[in-house]
Amino acid sequence: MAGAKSGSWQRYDADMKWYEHIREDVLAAAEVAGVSPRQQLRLELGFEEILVNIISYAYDYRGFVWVKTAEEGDCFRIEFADHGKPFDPLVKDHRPLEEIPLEEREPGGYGIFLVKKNFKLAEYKYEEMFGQMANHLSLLLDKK
Amino acid sequence: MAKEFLQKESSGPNDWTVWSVSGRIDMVTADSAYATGEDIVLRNVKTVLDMTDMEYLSSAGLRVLLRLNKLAKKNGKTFTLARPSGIVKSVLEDSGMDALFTIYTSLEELD
Repeated sequence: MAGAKSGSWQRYDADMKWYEHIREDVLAAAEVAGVSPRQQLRLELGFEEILVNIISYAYDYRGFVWVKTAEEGDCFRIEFADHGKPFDPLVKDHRPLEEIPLEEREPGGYGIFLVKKNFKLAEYKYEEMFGQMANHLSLLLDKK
Repeated sequence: MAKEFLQKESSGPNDWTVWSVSGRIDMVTADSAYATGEDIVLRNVKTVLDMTDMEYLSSAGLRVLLRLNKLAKKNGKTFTLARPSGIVKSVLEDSGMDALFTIYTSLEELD
């Protein structure tokens, strides 16, 4: 894409002990890309939700999570990949949250809703990456 | 500079107990926040979470609020929120939590 400054995929152990390290890497990349402080908090909302899901549920064994960030014009893209069980987090509940009665809302349903609400685009694919089939999630955020 | 995760309990107007949380309620701090909130809600009749110095609230934080709301109702207590701003206010509004709680803009409004 014209005007895109793409980083490379970074591989980490899918382990909570790496969470803060990965967070620092992503926020440093966002800072360099010129993502505003307010949008960095929105980035964190998506980042936390997706990364914690992968670390907590993707694998029944020790696995990896790959993360890539890229600047795309006025936007910032963050991508996640893992070789865990096939899982599309974006189809958890198709209804907008405001259409779900309060008493029907499950505590676990808020995270993906916030991802959809705060990012310009959220895409999921199950495709071959790094030599195996992988969950591949891509999120696009306005920088300002 | 990011604010440190700190929690404080104090007395408010009209017999309210004020639970102040500064910094972030995220996946790292959610368990600690819930444990403190559970203790305060169960010991007091009316608890308000003062969000003045809260900088970030993720879905893990929303789950804490939802659980404390259910706990309070189950035990005949009152639990509500006050003075959210910035991304914290946005997250409450986006998630529809603002319909679940009476959200006070100042502690003087507590009745």
